[in-house]
Amino acid sequence: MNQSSTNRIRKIVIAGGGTAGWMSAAALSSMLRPDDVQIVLVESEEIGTVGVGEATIPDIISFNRMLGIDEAEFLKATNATFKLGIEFSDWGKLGDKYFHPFGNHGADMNGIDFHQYWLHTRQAGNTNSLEEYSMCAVAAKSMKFALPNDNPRSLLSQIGYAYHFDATAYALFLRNYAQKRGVIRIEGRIDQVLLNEQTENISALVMQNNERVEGDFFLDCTGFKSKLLGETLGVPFHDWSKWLPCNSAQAVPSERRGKLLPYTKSMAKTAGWQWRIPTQHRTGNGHIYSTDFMDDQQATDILMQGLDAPALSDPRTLRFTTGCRDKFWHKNCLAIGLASGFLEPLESTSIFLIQQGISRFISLYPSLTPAPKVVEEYNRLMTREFHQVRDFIILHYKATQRTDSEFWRYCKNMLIPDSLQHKMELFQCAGRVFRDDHELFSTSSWVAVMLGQNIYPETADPMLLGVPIQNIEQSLQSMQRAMQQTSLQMPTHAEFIKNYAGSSV
Amino acid sequence: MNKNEVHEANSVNSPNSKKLDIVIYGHSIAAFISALTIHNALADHVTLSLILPADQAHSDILYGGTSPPDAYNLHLAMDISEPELFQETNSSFSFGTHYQNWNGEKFDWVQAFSLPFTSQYGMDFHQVLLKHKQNLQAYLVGAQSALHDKFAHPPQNQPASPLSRAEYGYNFDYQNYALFLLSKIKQRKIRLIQSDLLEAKVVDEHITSLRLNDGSCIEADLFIDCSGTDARLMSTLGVKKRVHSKINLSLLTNENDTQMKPCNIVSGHVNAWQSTLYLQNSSQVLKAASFVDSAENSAKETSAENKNSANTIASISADIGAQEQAWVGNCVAISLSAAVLEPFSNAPFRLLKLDIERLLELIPISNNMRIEQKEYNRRYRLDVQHARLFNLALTDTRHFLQHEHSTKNQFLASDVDSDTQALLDRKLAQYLHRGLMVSYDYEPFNTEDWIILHFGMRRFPRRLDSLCDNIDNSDVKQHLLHTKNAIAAMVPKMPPCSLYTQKFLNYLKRQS
Repeated sequence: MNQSSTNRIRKIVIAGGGTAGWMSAAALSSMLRPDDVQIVLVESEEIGTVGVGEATIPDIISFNRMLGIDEAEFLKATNATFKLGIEFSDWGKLGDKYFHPFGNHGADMNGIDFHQYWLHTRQAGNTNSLEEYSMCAVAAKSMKFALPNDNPRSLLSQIGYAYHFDATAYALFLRNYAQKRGVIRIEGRIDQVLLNEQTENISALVMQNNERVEGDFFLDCTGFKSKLLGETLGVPFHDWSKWLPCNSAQAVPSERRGKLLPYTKSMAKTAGWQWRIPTQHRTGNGHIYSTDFMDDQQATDILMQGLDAPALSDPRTLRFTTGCRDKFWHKNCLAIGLASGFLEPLESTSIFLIQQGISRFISLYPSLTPAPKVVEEYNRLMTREFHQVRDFIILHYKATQRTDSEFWRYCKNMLIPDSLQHKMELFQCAGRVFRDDHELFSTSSWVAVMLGQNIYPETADPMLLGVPIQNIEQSLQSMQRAMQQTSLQMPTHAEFIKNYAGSSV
Repeated sequence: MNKNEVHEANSVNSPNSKKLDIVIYGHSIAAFISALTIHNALADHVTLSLILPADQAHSDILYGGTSPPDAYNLHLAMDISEPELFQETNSSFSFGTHYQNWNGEKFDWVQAFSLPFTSQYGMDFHQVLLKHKQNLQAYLVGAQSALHDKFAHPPQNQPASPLSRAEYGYNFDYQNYALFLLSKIKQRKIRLIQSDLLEAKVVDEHITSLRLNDGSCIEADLFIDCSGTDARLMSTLGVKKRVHSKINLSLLTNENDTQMKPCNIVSGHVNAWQSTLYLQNSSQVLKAASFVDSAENSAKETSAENKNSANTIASISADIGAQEQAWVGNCVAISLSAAVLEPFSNAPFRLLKLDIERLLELIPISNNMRIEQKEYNRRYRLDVQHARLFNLALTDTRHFLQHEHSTKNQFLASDVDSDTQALLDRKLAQYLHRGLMVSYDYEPFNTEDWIILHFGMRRFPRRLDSLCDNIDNSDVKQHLLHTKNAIAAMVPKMPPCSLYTQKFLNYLKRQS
């Protein structure tokens, strides 16, 4: 049943370094023996990387674990901090603020989602916000952090976390990891991509110094250019700008001052939004906006005004089109990261999508001549993933009551995918959340954003109507008190990092 | 309510301040389970009536008398305990279904219920078994116990015991079980109307009232059709039903059979099969024959023979298929009124449970039920389609053919739409290619069910996951041997199912 040795991939070429390239190289090198498969990564120091992410979601933990990376070592090497969620301000209305935490809100009881209990008490006069029943949100507001506890009875078991880090440092960290495991790095710019005339597979990359890098299988990690999958193999791109109209970003680091936030900030602006991501030694800032509604200079002014400390450099501008490739894998080429598609980092999903691309590839690891069924399955799963993340991001724009700018009026009135429309209607009806087994964003996430942006259901789940409101209120009160108590006993985020990773922040 | 009033009700989406008036129609297992679960979950939100025709719907034999492990939770949702079930009915324990001489290819395996497989090797357990050419059945304690007619409750707090990985469901006699459920209804504050339907008045795809043969006229906000395959309410709403095949079924009883196997035994092939069910002090045989036009006569003759037998409890003909929508206007069809799958698996009972859960989650909050209806129908279609995939996979023997593409569909007796066929093909092709398990949104049958099915149907991947090469095979071999031996050593020490059941009943008697 084993594949014959002649039909095995012997050499994988990764085109492009950066986060996508080195994550791929590290993951593949941890799974494949160098004697069996040679892995070569081609990158040029001259080409800057986009440095995707900096903020992540909890799945990154399992990726690092899969590689056997020590967490404290990783924190040190990448100047990482912990992240308990995202605080959104001015999204629903100017002056609004809500928290999208990792982990759940409260605890589901009798098979009914916790938010239904909260909605029920809200109708009876409970003025506490939903996030006051989230351990992550409560800790984040007090700038506290602790690792999750395995004991399901402990409230700390409800902690979900991810990281903020320096993406360039992460790529370097993974580069060392991969090179130790036999990955060969070739420095240089790709000049040409050669195709086999018969099979139309990619046969080699020709470097500017005329060196030929041949391979059996190619990973396109060339960023927005998508040099292999898009430019050479001609796989078309689906443009989602009508739903996600932002097309530009300006990024600038600033000094880090004040208390160390254990969360990302996302602040809605006139024609987009601005992020603030704390790493150990600096703060990452960026402004995502649409040039259809604002020029670059206005965008720069907004970005710089929104900093909480002096900038460490001039802003860098990037252009992008939101969307994804029609296929992620075509012939003997697979695109990972920006080469496969782009969704703005509003929910920090960029690195997650890279991770999914790699782990799916590993689980469907092909023979020398990939079976069409394997390729088809990969494309089906990745397309579904992109669509689901896309819908969740569109929700933030669509569920707004803002009318103070042309941009927000457009978002408020735009037509959205039927799948999302149905989800919003369903929630509005009785707080019911659309069910999808394989979705990245859980019920808790959908609820946080919908309620945070003022989609309030007409009623709570009718199943709760028979439960005495006093009983529910009592449960919620004791839950809230316990979370506050637990938070008081937690170290500050800065203290935790100092003790855990030995970094002074 | 006249037509204008219906429109008015539809245009208002404000939550009802009054209780939702629900009427269930049917004398069936689905009707009783619906009534009990709705009453338990929503007693303060609804007023509930059950219109009970005189006779139980014979289509209840289409559950095949088997339920999966989830039945335990369904019973709890009705405030019914396992001891009550065993003391008040002739139900028995089941570790799964034993397929014997199945499908003409003489497949033989126990489709056992199992907790998720665990693997310590960084790769899926079934890949490890494939790599070491192991028979999965030897690693399923439920399967081994069923083969040896043994039963004991899986221990709750002994993870080291091999038996803790097993799960069990129930075998039941459809009439006995329905009587038991009806007795529970009579203990609840559920309005019972013993009458039959004369006519349903429909305006604009909404049922406005039901006229009964006792002369009364019943109105409600929501009607639930549990009339079985007759779908008495749904049929008045003009919903299209897609029929895949037709089947004749006869249920025969064998009184005083005390064998008590902890499984049911299914043998035959897709066009003619039978399932033997072991209950407390008796057994039942469900005989099924599919027919297309040319075969109709012979199938009917077989059915007639069975009908004349003194042991025959019921005989019916049924269309295997599903309504395109299960919720139309203010009427929801539950279980067999909506979809019928052949009971050579326990898919019908799984769908019944899913129907009820879906309804409870989407119970309407106003007279405008458009959103709930849309979501209900979306999930319903997926659930039915996914359950059907399992049944189709149980009859698909294309992997035994060399030129599968040229003979596509040869072994599929029923009409399969292209969408379902594509989903099935993807599942089978990915598994046959390299053992990859494809799953869709919330399938009624889980990954373990599918893996056991593939091994049972002797579907073996052409190649293995490349990661298999990276594991230490000597360690794995030893661990597999240890696991297998532990099961092999434990099963003979377990009590026979009949003895265990008898002792269980004696214990319950003493307790009460």
